[in-house]
Amino acid sequence: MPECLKWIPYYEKGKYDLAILHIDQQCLLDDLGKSVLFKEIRKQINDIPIIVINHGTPTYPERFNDLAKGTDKDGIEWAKKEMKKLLEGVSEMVVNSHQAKEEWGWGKTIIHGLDENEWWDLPKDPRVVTFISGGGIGTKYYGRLFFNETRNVLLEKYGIHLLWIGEDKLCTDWNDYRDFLGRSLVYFNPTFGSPMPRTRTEAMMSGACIITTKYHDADKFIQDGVNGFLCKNNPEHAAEKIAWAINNYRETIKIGQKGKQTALKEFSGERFRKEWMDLINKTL
Amino acid sequence: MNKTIAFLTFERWHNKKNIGSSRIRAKWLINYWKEAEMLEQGKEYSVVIFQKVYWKDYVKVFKGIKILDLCDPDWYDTVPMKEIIDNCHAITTSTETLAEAVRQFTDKPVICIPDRVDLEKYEQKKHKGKAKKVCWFGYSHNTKVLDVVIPTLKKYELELIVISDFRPPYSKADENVKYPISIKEFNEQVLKCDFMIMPEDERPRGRFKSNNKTIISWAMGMPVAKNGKDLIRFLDENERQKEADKRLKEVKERWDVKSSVLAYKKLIDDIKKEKNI
Repeated sequence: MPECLKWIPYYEKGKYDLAILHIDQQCLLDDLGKSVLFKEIRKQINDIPIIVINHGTPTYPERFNDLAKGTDKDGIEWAKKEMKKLLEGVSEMVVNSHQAKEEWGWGKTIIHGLDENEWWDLPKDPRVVTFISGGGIGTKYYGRLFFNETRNVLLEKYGIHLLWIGEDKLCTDWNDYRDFLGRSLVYFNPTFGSPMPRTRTEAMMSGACIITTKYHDADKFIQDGVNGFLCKNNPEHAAEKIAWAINNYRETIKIGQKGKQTALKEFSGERFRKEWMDLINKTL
Repeated sequence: MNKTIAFLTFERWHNKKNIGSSRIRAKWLINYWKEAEMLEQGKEYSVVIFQKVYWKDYVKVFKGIKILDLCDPDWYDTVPMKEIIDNCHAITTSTETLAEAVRQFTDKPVICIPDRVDLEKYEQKKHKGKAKKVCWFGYSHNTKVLDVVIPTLKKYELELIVISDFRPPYSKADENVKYPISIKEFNEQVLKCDFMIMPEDERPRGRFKSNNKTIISWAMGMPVAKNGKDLIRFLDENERQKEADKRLKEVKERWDVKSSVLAYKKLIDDIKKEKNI
């Protein structure tokens, strides 16, 4: 943890200028711990401005449709309304992608940024990896269904294994993760609802060639075949792109390097900090 | 004789027995290479050949000549190998297709030294009468390639003997023989058949596979049917003997394992010249 951060056991009024709290769409569900954490802390902080970072989107049909007693669309509308209620009185809701802002119907987009030196661009092993959440409901949201189908097609049709970091490969620590990612030629991002998955950016910073779904602004910074690849929501299509990348090592390296340049520009830590400082100054 | 060249084989590294690639790409070569032996840990060598062994730590600290020998596209299974390749002086492969793929990962020399055969290990078939039995041998997970030929074998009333590692035995065979068996038993099992049946492997990794089963069969005077046309031709004893004689001659000229030893010696000399040793 950076030195400027410290754990505190409780909130003390008058000691701070600003609170930054985290939520996602699952916080709308009373039976999840996430929701309790946010609500209880929120109750204690009523003397200073609050900025909430909302890491999610209203897309969560597995749970919201039932609560809305309707379709996916009804579920989304229910979530939007409930989120408005939950965040009543906060100064700003920051979201991770332009699409997330559009879906919620409000908020401020601050796309994440990483420090270049934290990511290791190492000689590449010709392999394809993915790092998505293995836990919680969200088969479609995290792209687990799409991942599994693509993995099957890739093996059956091209004889190539797709490796899931966190499941097939367990990293011993952060350095092990950075080393493994930094040596991977291709990173496949299958997500559908996850706004701006950070692991995809980490892979880009590490010089891996990205093959990604188009959702949540990916099509705004990935130009298909130039600095990465966009795949349709179709396992055959994704597997074809992955196989091409693995079998064309030198071209894929070049595309990965172009992707890295994109990441340095679009996802720079400096830009990220500036946008945050601007927002904080405006809020205070 | 002081042995200065060592093979570290897949079989040894994984403590397995009767691994085809280790036999074909290391043991048979050692038989005709007086300076070479199987690696003994702790012993000093001037050259180590890593036969499908990805021992990064050893490769990084060993100061002698290092050659990585590949017979499968193991990177398809996400085996890390770039760092090992970068720390070796050369890479050898069993097929040119594999060599072409590996050349993309490195500017080091990538040389195809094909699978060859130790001719002294096998006896040769004398062909007589109309064919009645055919044979296939290999790992059980590869028996899938036989499925397409079963109706044709039935049509021509040919019995199928499959020699495999029984994981599991091939259910459509008329007789299954469990491997490993001695070379003598292998000779007996194969030679009681009339020809070999080896359909093209059209699975995704088939293009990387070597022709080692074919040349071993040829070394035994066994014709190899790759398709229906071959199969019909090899029903006839004269056709089989004609093919057997032709292919045995080819094996002696092109597929003798002694040629692989010469290829390795040349590669090592080239590396020494390059390194100025």
